[in-house]
Amino acid sequence: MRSRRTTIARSLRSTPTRAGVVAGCLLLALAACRPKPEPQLRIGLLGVASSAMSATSGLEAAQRGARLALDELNKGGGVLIGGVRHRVVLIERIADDRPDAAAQGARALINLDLVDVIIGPQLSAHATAAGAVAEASGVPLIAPMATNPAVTAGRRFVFRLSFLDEFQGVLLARFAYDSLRARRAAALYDPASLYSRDIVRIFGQTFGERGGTVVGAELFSREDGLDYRTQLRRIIAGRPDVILLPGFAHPDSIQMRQARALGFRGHFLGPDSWDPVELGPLDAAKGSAIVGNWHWRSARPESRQFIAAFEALHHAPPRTNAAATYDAMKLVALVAARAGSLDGTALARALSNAGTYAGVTATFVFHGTQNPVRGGIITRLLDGSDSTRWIEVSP
Amino acid sequence: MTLARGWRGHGVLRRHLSLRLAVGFLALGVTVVLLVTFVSYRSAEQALQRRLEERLNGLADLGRSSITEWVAHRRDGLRYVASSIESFVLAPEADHAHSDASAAGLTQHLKSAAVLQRSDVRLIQVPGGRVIASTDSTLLGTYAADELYYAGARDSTNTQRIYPTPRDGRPTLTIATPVRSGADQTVAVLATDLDLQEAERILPQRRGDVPIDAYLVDAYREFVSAERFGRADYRRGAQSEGIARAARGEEGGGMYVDYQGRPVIGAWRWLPDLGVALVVEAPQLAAFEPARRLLESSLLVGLFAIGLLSFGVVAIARSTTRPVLALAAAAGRVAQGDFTSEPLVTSDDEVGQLARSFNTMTTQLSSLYRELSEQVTSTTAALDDARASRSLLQGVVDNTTAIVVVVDLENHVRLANLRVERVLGLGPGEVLGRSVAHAFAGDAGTLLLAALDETRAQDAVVEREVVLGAVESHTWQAVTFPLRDVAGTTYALGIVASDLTERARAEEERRQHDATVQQAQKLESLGILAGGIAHDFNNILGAVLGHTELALATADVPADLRESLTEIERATRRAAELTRQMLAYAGRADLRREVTDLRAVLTDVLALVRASQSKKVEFRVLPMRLPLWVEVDPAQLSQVALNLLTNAAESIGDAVGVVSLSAGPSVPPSAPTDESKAGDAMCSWICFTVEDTGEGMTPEVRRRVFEPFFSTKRPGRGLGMSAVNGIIRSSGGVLQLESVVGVGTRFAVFLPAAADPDSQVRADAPATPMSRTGTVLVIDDEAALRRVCRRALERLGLRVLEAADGIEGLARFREHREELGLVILDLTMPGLGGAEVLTIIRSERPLLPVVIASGYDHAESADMIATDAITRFLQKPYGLEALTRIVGESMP
Repeated sequence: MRSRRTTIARSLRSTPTRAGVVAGCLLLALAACRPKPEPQLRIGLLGVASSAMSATSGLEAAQRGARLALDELNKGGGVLIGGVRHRVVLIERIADDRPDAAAQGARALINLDLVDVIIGPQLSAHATAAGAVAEASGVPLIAPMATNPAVTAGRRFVFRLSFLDEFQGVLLARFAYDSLRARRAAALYDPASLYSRDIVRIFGQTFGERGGTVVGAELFSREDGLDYRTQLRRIIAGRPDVILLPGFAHPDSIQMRQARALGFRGHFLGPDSWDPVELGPLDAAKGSAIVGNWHWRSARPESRQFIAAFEALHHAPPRTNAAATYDAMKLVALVAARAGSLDGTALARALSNAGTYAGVTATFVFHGTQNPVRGGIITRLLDGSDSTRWIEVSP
Repeated sequence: MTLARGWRGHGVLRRHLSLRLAVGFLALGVTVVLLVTFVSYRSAEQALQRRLEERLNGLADLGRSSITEWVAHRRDGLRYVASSIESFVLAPEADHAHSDASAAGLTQHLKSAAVLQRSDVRLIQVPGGRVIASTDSTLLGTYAADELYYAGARDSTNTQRIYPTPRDGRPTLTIATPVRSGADQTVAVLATDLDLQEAERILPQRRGDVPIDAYLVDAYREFVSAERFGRADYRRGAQSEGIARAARGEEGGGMYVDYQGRPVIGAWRWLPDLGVALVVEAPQLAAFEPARRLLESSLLVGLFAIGLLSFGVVAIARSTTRPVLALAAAAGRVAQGDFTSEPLVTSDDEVGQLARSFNTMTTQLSSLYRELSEQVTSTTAALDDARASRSLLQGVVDNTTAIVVVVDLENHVRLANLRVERVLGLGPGEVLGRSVAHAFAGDAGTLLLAALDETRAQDAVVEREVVLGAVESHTWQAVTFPLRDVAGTTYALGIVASDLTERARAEEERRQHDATVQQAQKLESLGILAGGIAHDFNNILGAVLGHTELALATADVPADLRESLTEIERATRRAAELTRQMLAYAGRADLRREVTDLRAVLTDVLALVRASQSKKVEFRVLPMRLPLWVEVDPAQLSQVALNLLTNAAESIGDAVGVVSLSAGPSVPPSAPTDESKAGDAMCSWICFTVEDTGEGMTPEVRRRVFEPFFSTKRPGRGLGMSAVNGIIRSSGGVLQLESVVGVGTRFAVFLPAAADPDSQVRADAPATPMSRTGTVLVIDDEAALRRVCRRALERLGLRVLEAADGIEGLARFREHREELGLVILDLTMPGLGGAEVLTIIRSERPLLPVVIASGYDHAESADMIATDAITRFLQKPYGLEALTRIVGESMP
């Protein structure tokens, strides 16, 4: 017996065996010592850098809103998910102003940054492309400002916070007909933009139903340069009371000035891509009616609180996109806590069944859909600098 | 087994050399096999890896060129289609609205382009970006103005790097080429999304023993292939080292864990034009299968070989160790003393040589052992003898009265007997090693050293007298002498000293002893002389007494004569007492005990002492009213009283003094005076005291006063007081002595009291003369006694026959055998003694009463004659009364 015990002991004393044993012990110790990864709720903010976009939907606003929400959430100790407190981590990726770039941004957030949820991008075209990736990977994506139905159509993981284009078109048509008493309307738009096409289509449909007449619909391509006068002349020739310009703020402001220069005295109608703050000082824009998600002087309690916090930080009024991104962040935290899990499917299910959520921009009602039931506003640019008037419209 | 004793361990391995060899070989062999197998496995594995890596790299390169070629081919095809469209479809004035017919025609044309089969092709109008013709009808009328390929293809053929399609996020590779008008103006863009499934199909996939998988991954780790894309397992793309490194733009190969968690060998390439990574992988498990098979087979073969070799080793070791074991067993037997065993020599090899050498060695050892044994035996015997001699010598030396010391040449004691230590007052062995000066301190040491030096210097015996002794200083006669070895060299010095003081004392003692013996011999002869005189004197006294009593018995004796006769009778009786006392001194006294009146004895003795002592000594006697009965020998009691009174009177000497005598019942000696028991105690002890006013005794004298031959009186024999002490002690009494120098001495003698004998005496028949008839034969060699006896018996009316000796007595006995009534027989007669005569008388008349008369005491006579109812004893000299009583008893 002794000799056997000695043999084993001797074999243990041999250098290679000892080295192996020591290495094994070290590995075990390392495994035991390795810090447990901190529980995190990883939110990817996908922004698009675009010179064409106004601050309304701009990247910086989105970042400010998201960071404010992030700060508030983590100050409150993070999010309690499944009984474990998770710190909220925001990963920002900025994509080029192209759908494929947005899709790649989403892919990078999902595959490389391993985010649990994506917020953004703002524009429908981008959101549609990014949403395709998110849908394919089963990662929830919330587009705070995208209005086009294609963004969420047929998808389970892609959500929005804004109203749909149809809502805008109907709202503008009603307002033009009822409030502005317009009977003749015209539109100048880029047919390559799905957003514009849809708004024009629905506006025309609704305006016609009301009894108005669409006297002209002119197209332009962004490849054509910034001279829209050919089309504007043709429009003005139709003597419209209102001209719908469902493009983006920057080209539209040129179009407005060119229209005024050509002698147009009526009102312009603008969708939510218009930034009332930027357009306010523009003379050509006076009297315009703009559909929006939110007004920066909203009296809603949630809004007032948000505005105060935002202004204290940045000494400037928040843009709609900031408020909408802030809402998206808070909503994600809320449903993650409710889902009790970071699994994409669970999060998506919790989002679509979120019920009523009183956000900064509006009160959202999710009842098993990707799109919330919510209201909007119409802002009128009045004479005088920075003077607006707005009405809130129920859904 | 013998070998095993040499080993300290107990394990089986430690006991069997062959087993140990086998196990060692096995362990070593297994280690070597494992090592070799492992090394060969590793090298095989590395070789396989290297080969596979090369192959995979080759395949990756092949795949890359295939893909590139494939894309180029597609691009060329697209260009061709674009040129074919230019010629007939597009008018220079084409505006936004095309007729459906022309669009349908275009679509048909696109579909028919065989080179682009299985790919979606669409024609996009420039400017505006509207899709005016498409093989995918759903795209017709959509806008591609935002697309990168659209912008890029305005001037030249353009390949958009792989990207997720906005429709479903699927990775897409789009090639676009301008369609130009005749004026070399781009009027449209022809774009096609390549079928990536097809792209993967051209990748080098292999099945077989080592399956090789090749796939494309985009920069975001997304699978490009339609088959893998969107699979639930890899919704967040595929992660592996190969993919990551390829996505970083590297190319290479190596071993890693693939996206499924399998260990693989892989090669990766980055295709920057397409924005995809090409990964070619083979599972390690399959890749290293040959190495593993090699490992298994080499292990199997190696271990089998080692096992076989181990058996071989055991067998060889057995055959090698067998003679060794035999040798070991033989060695073991030799170790146990058996020299007869010889290992079997079976071989001529080294073991055989060893065995032969062993045999020779054993033989030599055996003889050597025998010799040694004999030597040891003789040496042991010699040693025993030497020990015995030494012990004897030691005993003798130790017990001699002389001092024996041996010192070395440095005067250190090397040997000393017990006497030395005793004389010097040292413990056993303490003297050894000391120097002479240290051992014998003082003058003795100096003297001895001088003697030793002299001995050493002169090589001669030197004698000196030294004074030694720790307790008692004695003078010793010391002799120092040299001790020489065989060669005559002095190696030590001896000192022998004898005690002169002790010798002188011994001589003195011997002289005293001789004197004592002479005294005793003198006494002995005096006793014998006295005994002889006393015997004859007794007979004379017997005659005087007998005749006096006969004369007194005569009725008509005048009063003055009667008084004289009475005085004669009393003096005769006292003379008889003295004779008896003399016999006692001579050792022949009859220590008869009888109840005696102490008062009477004291009165008698006092009269005697008064007459002999100086008139200046006054004797005061306290009155004694009653007789004091004690059971002692009256003669001895007289002697005691005489001695005490004489000594008391002599202690006063010529001075005026008083000797007081008192006697009476007493308390027991040294007993507490208890009043309650005083009455009884008084009755049981009698005490008489003799007190004088003499010079008293010194303590020295008082200590030795009872020693025999001690005397303070010049003419004294020194026996008086020792006799007194002996008599009182043998009588059961106690003697007490008080003495103060210059004041006086007091002796008290305590004796047990005896009962009053009067009642018994009265009960005895009074010795009144009565008339009797019968014949009595008196045999005695003393004629005077015979005559007294005859007269006394005849007065009783008896007929008396006389015989002068034993022979005559027997003749008379035979003559008058039948008429004899009593024989009075003297025990001590010349010729035929009384005892012999009695024996003959008893043989003839067994029941004839005989009275034995003797001057010796009864106990001494009884040794010769057994007294009984018909054989009585009569102490000589006897009076008439005693004779009359004993005749009366014998002839009732």
